[in-house]
Amino acid sequence: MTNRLALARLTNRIIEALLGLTLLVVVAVILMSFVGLVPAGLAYLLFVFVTVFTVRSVPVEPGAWLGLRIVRRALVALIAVITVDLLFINGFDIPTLIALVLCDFALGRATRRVAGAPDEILDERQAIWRNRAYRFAYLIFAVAAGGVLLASDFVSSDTRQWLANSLQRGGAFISLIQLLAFLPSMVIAWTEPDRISGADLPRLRNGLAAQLAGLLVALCLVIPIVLSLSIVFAPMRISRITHPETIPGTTASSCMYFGAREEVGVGFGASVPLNAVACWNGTTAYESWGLNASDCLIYAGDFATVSTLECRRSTQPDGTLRFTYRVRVQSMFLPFVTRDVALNLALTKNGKVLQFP
Amino acid sequence: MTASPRTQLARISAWPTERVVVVLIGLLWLLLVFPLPRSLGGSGMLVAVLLLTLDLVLGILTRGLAFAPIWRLDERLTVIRDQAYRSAFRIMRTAIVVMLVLGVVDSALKSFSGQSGPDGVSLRFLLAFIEMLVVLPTAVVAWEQTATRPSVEHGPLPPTAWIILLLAPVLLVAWTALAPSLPVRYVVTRPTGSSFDLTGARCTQFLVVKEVGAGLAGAVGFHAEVCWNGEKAFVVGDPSLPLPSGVLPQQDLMPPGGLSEPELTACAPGVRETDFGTVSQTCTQLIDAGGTLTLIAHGRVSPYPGGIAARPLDIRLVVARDGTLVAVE
Repeated sequence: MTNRLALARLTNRIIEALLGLTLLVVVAVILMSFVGLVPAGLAYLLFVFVTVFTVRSVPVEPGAWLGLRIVRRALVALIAVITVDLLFINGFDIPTLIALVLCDFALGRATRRVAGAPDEILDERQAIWRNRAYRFAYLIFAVAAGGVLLASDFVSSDTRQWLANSLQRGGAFISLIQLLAFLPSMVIAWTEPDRISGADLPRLRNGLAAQLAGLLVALCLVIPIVLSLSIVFAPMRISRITHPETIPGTTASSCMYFGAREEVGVGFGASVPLNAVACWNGTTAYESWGLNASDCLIYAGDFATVSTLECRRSTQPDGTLRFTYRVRVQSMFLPFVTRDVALNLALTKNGKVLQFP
Repeated sequence: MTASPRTQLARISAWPTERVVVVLIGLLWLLLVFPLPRSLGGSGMLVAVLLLTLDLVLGILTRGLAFAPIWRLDERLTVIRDQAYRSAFRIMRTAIVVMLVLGVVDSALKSFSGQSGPDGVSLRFLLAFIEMLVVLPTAVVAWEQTATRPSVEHGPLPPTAWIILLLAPVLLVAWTALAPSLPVRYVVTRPTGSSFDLTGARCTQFLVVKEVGAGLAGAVGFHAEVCWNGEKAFVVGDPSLPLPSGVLPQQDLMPPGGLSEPELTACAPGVRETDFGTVSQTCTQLIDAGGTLTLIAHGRVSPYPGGIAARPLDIRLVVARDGTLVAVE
């Protein structure tokens, strides 16, 4: 018995040490993201993980609304719809994912996270209905996941390809993880009568940890909204560089390297580069490299999608070379937040730069 | 203080039959999900039947507790079963994470070695997944049985309980009889984003597989890098399908017969398609006067190792000189 206690203490200390280390790493990553060493998206994801762990460490009450069976059932139905939707959607849909996270958060409150609670804090009655919920959850999972896999493999080669695409896009993975992580809680929420917390349980204090958890959740929701709005409201950051370039085998021409980068948004946004060499010979200006259709597909987005609106290269009758590369940056969190970014190059036949970028 | 290896061995050898069966099932499950060996060499159905037999043995030993109707169980057995399901759910979470990780490793090995095959969940993984879903609660009940003893209380097993094991040989015989006449289906894909290109020709890769019984009884197929120059369509990457003369401007710089790149062209249905069936096949190409390419794979497909109950299968891929897919039959 003494050995077991000592082992339990040691395990707790190791877990605490690991948690502390994780927290330090998260703080370090967030700090590094401020100076641009780490993508802001990664820092935000780590922040979300910290919030999840903090929220899970705080005991919760379902509250008046979530204590009602009809509300809980509506919540479970909503989660089921989102889970199925994620399986079928094309592409990675951040707003749907956020809705799912919020629903899961509410589900945790509604069930007081009994499904994941250790045995020591549950009484015999709670343990019995928790285990029963796991049995139902297992059977539901077996029918749902097994059914989808069997059907996709055997119905036709198209259904098989559909599942492969869904797995590649991540929707099927999220659905799977959702079911594995929350199905027992969904069963508990669905089956238990009104006020599952029961009057027999003492009321929880709204302590410091609970306030911290609330603050972190609020920040988790506010940060993406603010950073998404920065795509429109923050000033665009433009950097440019040009220098003469020597192209082997071209003697009668002069060439110039044009490098530019336009960045929109703070943390969440996109960076659109242009790297090209253009030459001129007194008769006309022409592209050496970097001003083709394939060069209009180079961009990077953090929680933002980038789509090319225009990619056009032309030579005017007076020998002037013109290149236009225009993209639309769209927030993944707030799809109505968009901003157009354009990179232009206009170079005369005599090497005079009329416009860049 | 730890027990000596001999003591540990003695403990394991004293295990009840239930635990031994659980370990055997676990080992077979690992064989299915582990990326190596790359192929089961057509023995997938034998593994499936073996697993079914072990599942039935476990079901008999636990008196079908995991799937028994609620009215057959007293309060204590209900509690034991619900606990087993909870443990099973938690084990399943870990097992699925293991499967996902090994799936990623499998994909990496596939791309690294240039192997091809249809996308999606392979039959081997599917069998492992379904087996896990079916047997886990029973396996947990069986493993814990020495402590909870729910079955022993019901007295010794009647000898008739084992009759159900006859299902395994019956299934094997039925499968051997049915497999050669199962319907076939085509899997045809043209992967996007293929970066292969040749000066003077445009290329695209075709993956064509003809599966018997959705792949459960084997498949014949190939993946081929088909190029065209406006005058002819031809296959690149396999010297056994030689490059026609004069189709590329710098063809004299290539080895005789063309490039040897198995990731571009290979006359095989894909490594995962040989888990549940064996195939011996050959490929030939014909280019007619109009420049249209016909790539033919001719093979014999068997649902077992050793070519038992084999049937002949052919595939024809026809591509026009402008890269248009004319037919797959």
